[in-house]
Amino acid sequence: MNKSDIPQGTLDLLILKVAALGPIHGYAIAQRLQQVSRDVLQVQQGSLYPALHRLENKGFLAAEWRESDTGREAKFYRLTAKGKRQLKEEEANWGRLAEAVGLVLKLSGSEGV
Amino acid sequence: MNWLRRLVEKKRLEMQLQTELQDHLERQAADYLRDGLSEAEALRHARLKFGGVEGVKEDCRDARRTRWVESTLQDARFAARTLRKSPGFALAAIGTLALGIGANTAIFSVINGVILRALPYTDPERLVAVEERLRTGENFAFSYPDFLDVQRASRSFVGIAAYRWSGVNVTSPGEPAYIHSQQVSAGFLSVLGIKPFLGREFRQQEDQRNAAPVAMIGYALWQERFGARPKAIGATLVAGGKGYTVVGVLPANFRFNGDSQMLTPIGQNDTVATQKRDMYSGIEAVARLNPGVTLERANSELKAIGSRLAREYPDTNSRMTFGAEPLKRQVIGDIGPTLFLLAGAVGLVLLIACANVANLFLARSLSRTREFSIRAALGAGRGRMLRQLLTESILLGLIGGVGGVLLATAGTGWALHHLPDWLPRTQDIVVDSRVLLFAVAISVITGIVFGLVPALRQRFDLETGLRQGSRGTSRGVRRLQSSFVVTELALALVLLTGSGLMMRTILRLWSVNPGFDPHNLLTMTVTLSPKVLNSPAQMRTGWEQVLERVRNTPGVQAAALDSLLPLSGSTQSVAYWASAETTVPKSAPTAWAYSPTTGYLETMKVPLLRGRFFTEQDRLGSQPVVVIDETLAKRVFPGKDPVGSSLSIQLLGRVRIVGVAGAIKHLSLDEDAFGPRQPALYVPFLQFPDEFMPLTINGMNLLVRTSSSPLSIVNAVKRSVLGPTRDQPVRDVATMEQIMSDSMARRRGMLFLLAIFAGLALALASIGIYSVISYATSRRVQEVGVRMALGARPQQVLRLFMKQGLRMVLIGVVAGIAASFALMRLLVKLLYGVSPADPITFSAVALLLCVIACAAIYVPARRAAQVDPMIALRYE
Repeated sequence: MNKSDIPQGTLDLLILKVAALGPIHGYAIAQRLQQVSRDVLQVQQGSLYPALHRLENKGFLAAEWRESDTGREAKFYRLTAKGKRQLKEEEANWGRLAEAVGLVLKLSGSEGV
Repeated sequence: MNWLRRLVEKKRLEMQLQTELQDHLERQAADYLRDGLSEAEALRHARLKFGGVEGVKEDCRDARRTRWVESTLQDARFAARTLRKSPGFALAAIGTLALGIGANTAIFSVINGVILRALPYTDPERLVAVEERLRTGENFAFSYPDFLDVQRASRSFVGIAAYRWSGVNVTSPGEPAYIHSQQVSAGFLSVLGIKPFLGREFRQQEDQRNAAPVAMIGYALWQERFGARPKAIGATLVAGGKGYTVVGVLPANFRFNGDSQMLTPIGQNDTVATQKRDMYSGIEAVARLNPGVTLERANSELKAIGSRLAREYPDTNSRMTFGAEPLKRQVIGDIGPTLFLLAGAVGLVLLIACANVANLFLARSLSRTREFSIRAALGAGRGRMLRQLLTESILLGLIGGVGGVLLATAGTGWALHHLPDWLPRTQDIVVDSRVLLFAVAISVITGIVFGLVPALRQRFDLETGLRQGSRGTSRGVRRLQSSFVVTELALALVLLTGSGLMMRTILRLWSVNPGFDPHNLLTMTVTLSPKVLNSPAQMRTGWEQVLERVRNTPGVQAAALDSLLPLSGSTQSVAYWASAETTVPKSAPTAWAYSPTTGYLETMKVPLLRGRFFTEQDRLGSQPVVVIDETLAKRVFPGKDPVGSSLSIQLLGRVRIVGVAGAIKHLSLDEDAFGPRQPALYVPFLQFPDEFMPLTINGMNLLVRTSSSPLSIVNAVKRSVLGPTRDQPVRDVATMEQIMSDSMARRRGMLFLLAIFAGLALALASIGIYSVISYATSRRVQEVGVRMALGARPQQVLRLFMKQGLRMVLIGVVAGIAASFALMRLLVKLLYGVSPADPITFSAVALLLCVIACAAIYVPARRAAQVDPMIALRYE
């Protein structure tokens, strides 16, 4: 299976989805994305952070520093109420888009081009 | 975290960012370590997987969206450092900008105060001035019975109030002194939406004949005469020999129709001024429109009332109607175009200042080529460096702006104090937030304007910059500098032409013959002793005695009293007609009405053309007589001798013409530029019926013809007027020449400011051309050295640079003349007796500009010509 780059804008949706499961720090988000997508989605791990900070500044994520398993303070992200609404909306959008793309693909397939 | 906090807590955010990314890398490395990699390998892989840490940090910083502020601050700090390093340059630029921005801010603060700011009353845009007018459109004062009818009949207004200016001598409490006062309707303050500071305003039942005398007093008068005690309410103020009970104190900053320190109910005025339907003695009206009523609707209602009154009172009202206009328009008058012209003029000054500073920047940009090349080599983008340059110029603009605001504040304060009274609403001219906003905006725009051209010209490319070093001259830069200087000279010429034309206008006006001799003529306003004010007969005697005493004062050649002073701005006119009809015909023309005592023509030195002037025998009870001026004679009795004929005059009836006097100027020295002259007539003061005598309570004008300088005998005349009871003070002492000068106040104000701006422009343009030539010579020192070493004489070097400068001057002058030709038409309304394309003015100012510009070129050119070739050749 080929590895794919993440389409533009989708990273935000994925981050929100992962964060929805409970407070989580950056490294764990990166791991989670990789695992869940069974290594299909390749994120340059560094590029996760600007996205995280953007979502935080927009108020979709809230961050707090607390002690982690390593014994040091780490920054944990948590989905806010505003973020939840955003996630719902983006999920719906994505679903519609995927459906539409699927339809188009099926259509071209049946014509047997 | 909000935007502002992200900006302020930058340091903490940076540390957190570092920790967060470090944490990620360590966890990743730990995972790799568990997978069996060596520590070094684990760290390397972790880094690889993460990507460039610094790049990620930058992206995270961008996510804060505070970057532009940070780099602007950084630019500003750098700019401040750069400017500190070249203080001469910075000072020259800031000084120039402060002058330009200051002049503009000053004029804007005037426009803001006079035109833009709302009048200081509640909901001022609903306030209108209601006027009684001739059906032909000319504004009259209200007759009081007409006002009362309008007040009763109109439905368009929440309230309407009359006001009438009057002066009065206050004698107690405190020292006797003359104060401005006004007679107003009950409800006057409510119409304006102003509450008294203390007490109350007049009640309806107080605004009537025979009501007990009451007064509202001004805040200043309350402070001075009542020691600011609240007990002043109910106390007595003695004014004009009458005791008034104080019922209210006006707010401190209250102004309406000037600064009056006393209000009395107009309805208590029982003189002829308010009793006759055809007496228009200075009563005006202000009203507040009802919600939902437009000015148009109010106007059509007023017109209907006018028509009704004309039917009801055909004798007096057939020619009259009513109308309204926004109060603000009445207050401002027609000053707007003049102020906008000044704004244009001052804008030109700012353009010149910008061109000058842009030139300074250009000259500096050459010497900074190396700096920018190095920065480009180190990776700074062109946009980033452009921004740096613009930040520098905007910073300069803002510092100049601060200086400008200070200059403007000081300058307007000074000018309002020292210039003749030519602006309305001067108390509203202050530096408020709008003026400050204007100053900031104009500073930033200025910074961009003068910074942009040099910034775009700045060479950022690496190799030319580094190769050329600081020595190269760029042809393009030189051409740009020259075109800036040419523009400056042209703009300066436009301003010079404007002030030249204004100056010619004022000289012309001074040479206009007013029809009387203004030299050695003293004028003042005289009031009678309060003791005689209750009896018309005593008043008449009082006036005669004043005149008698003044005539006997040493140094007095002749003296007369009159109710109207020509060229003072006040007017008084009546309708006249030749037929014997007893009521005013609808088409009756009006004439200026003077009511002087004997000796008037002699005192004014107005020529008597035919017949005689009044004598002591023309008094109450004898045949009523009139002296007409030659304009009236020509109009009514063309080709005939009017002496002996009769004339009908409004309010006075049928009178006999006994003489014809020469015509004089009444309103202004240039009045004949506005159409045919209004004629004038003189009726003897001593024939005034008793009922008219109270009209002189506010004072009469005393005219004194002196044998020597009029101001030298002021005190002697004052003593003569004061009288045995020592209670007849004078006010408004002025020579006739001062009054003439004041009648040109607006033009003089305009000339004064234009001359300042033109002088500034000339100075800036001269500095501009001076610095460009100095710069050119300094760039070509080596060349000059070589030329001289090869045998060129200093004379030739001088000619070389003079030629370069003179070309700029000539082009500038030609462009300036062309621009003036187009622009001076805007001045036409302010000019008198001089064409906007006046060749004399044009050549004179062009010559002036050439001479001064040549001097500015000559200094650096001569310096270049005197340079020692040996030093020049070694010069780097």
